[in-house]
Amino acid sequence: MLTINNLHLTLGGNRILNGLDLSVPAGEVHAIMGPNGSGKSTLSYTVAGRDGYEPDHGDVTLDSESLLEMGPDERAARGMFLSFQSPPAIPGVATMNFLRTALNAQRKARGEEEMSSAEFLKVFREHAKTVGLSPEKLKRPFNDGYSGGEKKRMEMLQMALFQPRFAIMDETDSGLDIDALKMVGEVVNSLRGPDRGFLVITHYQRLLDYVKPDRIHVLAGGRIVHSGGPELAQELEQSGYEQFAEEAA
Amino acid sequence: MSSPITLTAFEDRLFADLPEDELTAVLRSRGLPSRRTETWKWSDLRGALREAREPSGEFRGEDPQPILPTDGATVLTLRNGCPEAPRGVEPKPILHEGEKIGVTYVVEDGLVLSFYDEGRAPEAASPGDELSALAASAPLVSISVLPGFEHKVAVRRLSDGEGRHVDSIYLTVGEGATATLLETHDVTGSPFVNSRTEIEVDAGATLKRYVAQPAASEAVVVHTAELRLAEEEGERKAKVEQSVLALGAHLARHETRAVQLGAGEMQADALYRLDNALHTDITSHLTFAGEGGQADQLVKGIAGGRSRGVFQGKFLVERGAQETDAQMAHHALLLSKGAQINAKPELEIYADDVECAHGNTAGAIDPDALFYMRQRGVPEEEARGLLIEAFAAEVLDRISDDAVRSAFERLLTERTL
Repeated sequence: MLTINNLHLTLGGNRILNGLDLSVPAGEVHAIMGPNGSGKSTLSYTVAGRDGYEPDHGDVTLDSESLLEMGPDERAARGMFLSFQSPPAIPGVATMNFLRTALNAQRKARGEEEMSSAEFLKVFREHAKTVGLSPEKLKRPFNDGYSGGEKKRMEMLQMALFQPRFAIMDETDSGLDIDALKMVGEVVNSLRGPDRGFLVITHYQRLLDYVKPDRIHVLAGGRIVHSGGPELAQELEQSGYEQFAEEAA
Repeated sequence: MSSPITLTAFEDRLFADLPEDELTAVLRSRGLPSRRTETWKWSDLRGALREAREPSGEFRGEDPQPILPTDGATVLTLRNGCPEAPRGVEPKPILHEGEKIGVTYVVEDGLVLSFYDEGRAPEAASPGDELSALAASAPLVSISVLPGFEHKVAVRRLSDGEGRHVDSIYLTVGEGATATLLETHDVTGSPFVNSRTEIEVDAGATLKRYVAQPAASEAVVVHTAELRLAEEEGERKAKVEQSVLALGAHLARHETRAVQLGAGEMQADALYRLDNALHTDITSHLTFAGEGGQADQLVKGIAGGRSRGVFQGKFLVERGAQETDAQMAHHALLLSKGAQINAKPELEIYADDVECAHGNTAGAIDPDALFYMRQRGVPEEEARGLLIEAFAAEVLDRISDDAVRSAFERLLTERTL
């Protein structure tokens, strides 16, 4: 499904990604763990196609199709979703209007029929309830006056709404309490299926109690230095990342 | 007085057409306002009007659809500067020392329109103020909303050709009256439109003034408004809500000069949206002459292409104007490397118990918001459009007249597409 091949990327003269290889088959959830500055967020921006994050070498494919020549909106229409580590507030942009525009833009790009206002409203309300965002909050401009936790709920609402083929969750757990972590687990688990893949980026093991990964990868020095099964999370929690520092260097 | 200058072909012809008075004399000596004039340094009127222009003559175009909705409004149409008398109402002569100097129409209960044969006697103007003085010499049209009444008046200025059109409107809003004044500039061709709107707002009266000027890439538009807000009577204040939507011209300047004599309230907003090589200058000068004046000004601009936006805002708080509360903000969004914004927010304060502030920013579209929206599937152009709309919305949301707000939104969207 998602294949990253020998990815190299330089930002401001610094090599951030350094020959990263990763493959997440359809139906699986993989986690990436790694110390600060190991390139986790850079990886998510590169895969999503942010301006300025064009790789020097390597390729990123989704369902065997290279994403690198596509703009972020084209990648989104192919089913790529990024749950942002720090989602921005967008003052003046009405939440529902924006999300319906986005959903229908994706549908249009895929040659699907647009969703009517009524249908959208129904689906939107359901997901809002699941993630625990009140109708009052949703009347505000996008993320305007939202707490960190509420912004993360909004990310999960959108993941449920867009039903992506592949979702990257960039530190969705940071700043969340136990109840919110449970909610994230519910959303991910309800979406898990044979046609969908997830890449969960995190510092800590605790999210993985709610979202059980199939594989865990350690990212250090801009590449994957170690991979293992779910038990690796516990190991890392106890022994830290230092053991991989040498491999990264 | 500075040494005589070499006049442009336009000035040569203009001064030959003007009567030999003091105003013409000062203009002849210093020329039209230009880069060298402090208050016009970013709007080179002289440079924009170099060539001689043939008079436009009569307005030849068809009457277009109104730019702002005129439902329920008394409409005053000026074609190439010439006001059209109201239909279906008998004029009465205005006499001065036995001589007829104009005609007057009682259009409705509490609404009187008067057309004078002549304008004001010209006065020498200080540098930068000549355009308002020139417009003031046009035959005066006076609009009176009598005390206690509520009226909506639309002043539609239709212009074509390439000549110079001047007009001068004088509106009084009597005690306790409510007036809505819609002013539009519908310009085709390359005329030089020089308009003046003078307004008196009495105690307890409310004025809502909305100005819309759609893009006119070849034209030069200079519109000066001079407002006086009367001293309050008890709790009864003079209140003004003003919003200007300016979509650019070869050179356009919308200037507001307001004096608050006491505890008045004024909102002096503007929104400009420019592309290509269009230019818009929003200049305002608010004077607080009495105690307890309030002003709230939000000006926003969006500039793309090689366009230029200018904001000059000044609050002058005179000695004794204690408890003045005045906020000024100008924010600009630059959509291209070639676009330019010049801003000069100024406070000049001679009283010690006041609350005055100004803010000024200029920047590009927020890259985080743009990437976020695109990541959700919104194509780049559409995402930019939504962010531009959102930026403008703050000014539009402050317009209390729903129909005007919708019309402004529509004008802006048509422009953005």
